[in-house]
Amino acid sequence: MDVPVKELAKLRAVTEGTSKGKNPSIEGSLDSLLQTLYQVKDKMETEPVTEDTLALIAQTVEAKKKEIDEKQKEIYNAIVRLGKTLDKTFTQPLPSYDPLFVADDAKASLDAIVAVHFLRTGQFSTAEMFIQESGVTIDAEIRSKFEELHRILTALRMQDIGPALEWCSKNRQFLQSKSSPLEFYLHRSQYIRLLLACKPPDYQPALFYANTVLRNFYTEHTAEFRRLLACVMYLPKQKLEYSPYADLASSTVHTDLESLFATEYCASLGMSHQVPLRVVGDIGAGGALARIEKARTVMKEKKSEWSQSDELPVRGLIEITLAPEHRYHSIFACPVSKEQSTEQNPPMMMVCGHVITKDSLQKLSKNNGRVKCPYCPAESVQTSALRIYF
Amino acid sequence: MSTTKVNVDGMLLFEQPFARVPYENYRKVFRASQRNIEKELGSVLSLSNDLQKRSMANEGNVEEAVKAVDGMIGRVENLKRKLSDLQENNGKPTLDVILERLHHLANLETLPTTNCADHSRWADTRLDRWLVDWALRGGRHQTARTLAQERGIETLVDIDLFMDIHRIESALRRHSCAEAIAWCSENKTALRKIKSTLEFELRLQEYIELARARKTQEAITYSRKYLISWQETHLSQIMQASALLAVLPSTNCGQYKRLYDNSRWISLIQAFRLAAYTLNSLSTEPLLNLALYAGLAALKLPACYDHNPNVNCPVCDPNIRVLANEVPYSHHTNSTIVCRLSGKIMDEDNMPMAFPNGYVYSREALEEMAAKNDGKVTCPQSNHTCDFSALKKVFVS
Repeated sequence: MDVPVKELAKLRAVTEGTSKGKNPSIEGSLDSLLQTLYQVKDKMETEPVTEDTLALIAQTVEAKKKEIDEKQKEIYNAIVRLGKTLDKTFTQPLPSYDPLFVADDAKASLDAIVAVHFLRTGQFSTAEMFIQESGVTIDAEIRSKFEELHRILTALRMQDIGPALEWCSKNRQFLQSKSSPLEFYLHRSQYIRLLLACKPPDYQPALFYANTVLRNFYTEHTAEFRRLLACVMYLPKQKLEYSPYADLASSTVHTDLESLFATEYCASLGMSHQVPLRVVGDIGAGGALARIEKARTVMKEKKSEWSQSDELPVRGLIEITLAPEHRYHSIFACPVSKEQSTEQNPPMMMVCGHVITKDSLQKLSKNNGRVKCPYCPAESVQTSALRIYF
Repeated sequence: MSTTKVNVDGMLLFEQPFARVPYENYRKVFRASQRNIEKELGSVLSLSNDLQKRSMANEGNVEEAVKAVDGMIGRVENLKRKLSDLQENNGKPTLDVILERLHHLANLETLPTTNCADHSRWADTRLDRWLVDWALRGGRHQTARTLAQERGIETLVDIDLFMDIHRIESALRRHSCAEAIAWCSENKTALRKIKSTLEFELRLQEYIELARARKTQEAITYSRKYLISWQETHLSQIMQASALLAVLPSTNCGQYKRLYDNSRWISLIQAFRLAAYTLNSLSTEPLLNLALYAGLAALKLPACYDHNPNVNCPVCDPNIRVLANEVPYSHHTNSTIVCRLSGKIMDEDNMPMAFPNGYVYSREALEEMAAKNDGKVTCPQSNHTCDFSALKKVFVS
């Protein structure tokens, strides 16, 4: 962005008259014209009007007009140059698509998605306004759930783990089924806060806390429990930061609680731990649309048919690679045919452990029903191949 | 989280309107200042020339001369005031907005990976910007304003521009062309550049309304004044319209019925919207929709329509799934196997292992299960239990 910013600065200098251009500012030109006119007017009230005076007026007017026109030209050129730098920075125009998501059900779904997004991200006043303006109906249950979530997160931010612990005790079964360390970490955060607030050698408050509360977690989190007690040796905080227990001194012990809590809370509601609009939006604008556009232009050049809703064209032109954290389902692409497996063409495992799709298995089978694996010398019987479920 | 590098070019694809809208606005301000200069200085020049001519013909007297000079002074002071006004209230603030937006984009270039908190914040702001843009286009103006205010992004969005477009569209909805025609005359050159016939369509519609009200004399005058100038390109349409004077609005005759049809107003609104968006460098579709389309196309798999939704997969969400219906399936030439127990990707370090009935999970997740269950593992989908040792290694290349 350096180049546009520089050009913008130049444009600003020209318009504000601070640049070293050869023309005075427009205000300056107008002021000097006014000066001449006032002078002439004064003269006229005392002396007779001469042709010279009138000639002076005409001359000044023309000269000043010329100055101003030149200045405007200067400004215009600066504007055009700025525009050119913008053209160079944004080389690709936004593609035009046929209207998307216009069907009634799509519109309603998108409204619902946006409303839930506002609630989920804690923008309650915006959510209210939107629900009013759009007329979308959101379950009151969901709304109150998100309000509760934000109440607890705000408390956590203020270093109050009380509401969070309350929720944990109500949802202990769920947390245990996930083997979640949430409750333990909440107490850990409190313990460390007490510890660091203690004036050595009086560690009574912290140790009391550990004895009464942390002890319950001993069996599940033995190693961490031992670390928490051992780190007392390295107090105060400055020493702790250089010890093997430095991670316990960092603020992430406390700040990570927020996202961990939000994750578990949303999971208990059957919701994803990432905000869906962010996930899809980031993927779409992070390169996916650019990829699709590249392929579209190539196809236009080759004059092939493009349909917005068929499968994205093959030939590896539009394979949008997803980051590991965006992999939610298994994708099996047969190493032989490069086709993705489907219900009708499922992945099959041969006796050697290698997997190919059913169709490929069929094609590779000889008349006697035996198949030679394309990856190793092993031979299988076609009917003994195991259908795989990922 | 991954340490993927930020795809700046890919992201900049979405940001052209962001930078260009205030730039086009500045050009508009410049044109306004130019018009003022030409008008006022033009007057001054002609006053001065007049004065000279009259004195040369010995017609003038002192009083008239002083009045003329006063007039000139008045014009110049007027111009000074108008230009200063434009600069203060329009010019300078617009330049400030351009700078702020360029800086915002510059932040993008300094982000190292998609992993860091700064990227998350930038992406959050971007989503907010998209939501404001989407809400404005959908007529949800209060939501847009509230959102922009709450998130402090008022300079990063174009609320005023959309409100202006909305004002003209509302007028068209009330069957009034005046506002749209005024807009066309302000943007004459630009409309000519994109070869737009919007002005003709608007004039034609006003003519049709005069015909509908049976104000035949007015209609004829109107046509002579405004439609004739388009006769080179639109003669057939003009002639067809002139016949309307003899045809009643209640006609059943095909072509005239269509001319009288009120649905023409809807097409006018659409045509205006398209022209307004194009002239202002706005995209025709909301940016949110484009991002959703591309993102869904990257994620959509047949598995999302299965009966086992993955709670974390956006496409498995029932509402998002409806949107995904319009989007093509994603295409992959390489396998990525995800364990249903742990959500982790299975690879050489964490090999997939198969139950005797074909269900496959990751070694790590199965080992953990076996450790807690005396070496036995149970498939959560088929409920089949067996010993860990009975599992077979699966080789997926």
